Amino acid sequence: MNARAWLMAARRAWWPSLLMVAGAALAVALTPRIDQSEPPVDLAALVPQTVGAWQVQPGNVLLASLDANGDGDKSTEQPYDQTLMRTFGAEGRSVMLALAYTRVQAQEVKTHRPEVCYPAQGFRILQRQGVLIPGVARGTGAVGVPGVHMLAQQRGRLEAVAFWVRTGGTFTDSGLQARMELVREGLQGRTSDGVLVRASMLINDPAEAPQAFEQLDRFLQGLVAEAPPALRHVLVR
Amino acid sequence: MIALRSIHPAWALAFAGLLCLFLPSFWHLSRTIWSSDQYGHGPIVLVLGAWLAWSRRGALGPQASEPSTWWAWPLFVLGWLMYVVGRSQNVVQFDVAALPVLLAALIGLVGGAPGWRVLWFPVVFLVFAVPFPPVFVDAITQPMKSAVSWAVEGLLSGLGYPVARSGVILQVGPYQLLVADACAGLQTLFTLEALGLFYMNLVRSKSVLRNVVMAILIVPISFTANVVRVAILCLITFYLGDEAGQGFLHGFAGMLLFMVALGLLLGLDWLLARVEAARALKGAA
Repeated sequence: MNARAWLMAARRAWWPSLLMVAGAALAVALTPRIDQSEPPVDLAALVPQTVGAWQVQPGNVLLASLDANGDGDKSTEQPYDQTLMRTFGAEGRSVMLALAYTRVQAQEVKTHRPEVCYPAQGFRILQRQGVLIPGVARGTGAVGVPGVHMLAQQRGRLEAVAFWVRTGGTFTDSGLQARMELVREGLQGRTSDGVLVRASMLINDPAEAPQAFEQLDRFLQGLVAEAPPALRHVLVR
Repeated sequence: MIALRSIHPAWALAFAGLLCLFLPSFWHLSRTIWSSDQYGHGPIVLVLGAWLAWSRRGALGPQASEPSTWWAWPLFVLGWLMYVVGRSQNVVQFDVAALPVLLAALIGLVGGAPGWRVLWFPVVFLVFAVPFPPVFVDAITQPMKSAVSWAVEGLLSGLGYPVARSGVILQVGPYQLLVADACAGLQTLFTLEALGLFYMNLVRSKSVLRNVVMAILIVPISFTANVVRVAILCLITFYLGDEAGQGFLHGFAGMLLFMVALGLLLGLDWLLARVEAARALKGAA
């Protein structure tokens, strides 16, 4: 059978195979390449030592890890380029701040949400509410950031957590939403950076939660307000 | 060479197009999730599926005269879109799921309905190579971990070992063991379900009942095998210490799990065959 006869016999597969070659090329062409992230910032240097009345504490309060597995298994990768954990104190109370920044997020390398990593470390989530964290001045001129108030418990430890997750230019409310945002931006050729901004406080009783959330909100307001511009652009958009 | 010559040009060309799409995918997967614990079964499923398809090529016959099926083009477009979005945006679930969809479409286009009747099983089989969506994993893993921990506690305390449980943390003697995500057995369940279907397809029992019962019972079997594995890891740690439990014996327990599960599976199949034979005998008498 010569080449011509062979090709004629393969007539039925002409269009499908042509389209498949085109599909392979298109997938390469649509792979996002435009890096939208900031030039590298040094979180540890940029996060202020005081936020309002809150002062950095040297002590070592046990912070819930940012790792989603909780079992020390690194196979899902450490997705972050930079993390920062710091404890601030005022009037005998402590706020734990955790930041996790990823320059180029991908579907399998994206910010872990506290809703996932707290239970992974044995916490039970007692309460979770999507809120607008008020008073936070954003780069767009808007005020207030869509975030979450969460109450988590691990045996005797009760923790009020306030956080937001920024995926590129938007604040996302779930892992699925973040994934869809990545695809939406990616199809236009752009990569997205991402950050988790989390502040938490230990409390003794669930009844104290509303007051704790209010304090955490005010702390986060102060953090953004007093952040140098480079850091502010990482925290909010 | 003779085997290759016997392949119809239309199949060969369609297959070449498919390779253009999926060689980059496989290359990417082999460097990422395929080398992880959780999705290590992906390439195994792929190889078994390819073998199943290859072993059926004799039954394909000349297909140029068969009309393409009506669903082939819509399916092709769907698979093509899934691939382009999945591959370019790195959504591996779409990327891999596009393979069975496109394969089904190509079979419909080139081989028509008779081609599909010959090749449907290997195509459906490939669904097991698709990574689970994270939403699904998150929803299933936690309850499975709890159930495994609970069963291991029951088993070991029944055997008289000093064991206590708090959530997914097991205390065995002086040691604390965390039942990790990987221990939930989701991956094992899927691998075993795939291997079980593969086995059933090889044995080719005519009995629908036997096939359905087998396919369903694979779930409790893999759960049991997984409980045995975690219990054995606990005992290894209890007698030989932490190092042993985390070292090479960890991998060994994994192997044992598969042997236990496959043993149970074959035993069950044998039993089912006996029951059916007995019933057939009764019916005849």
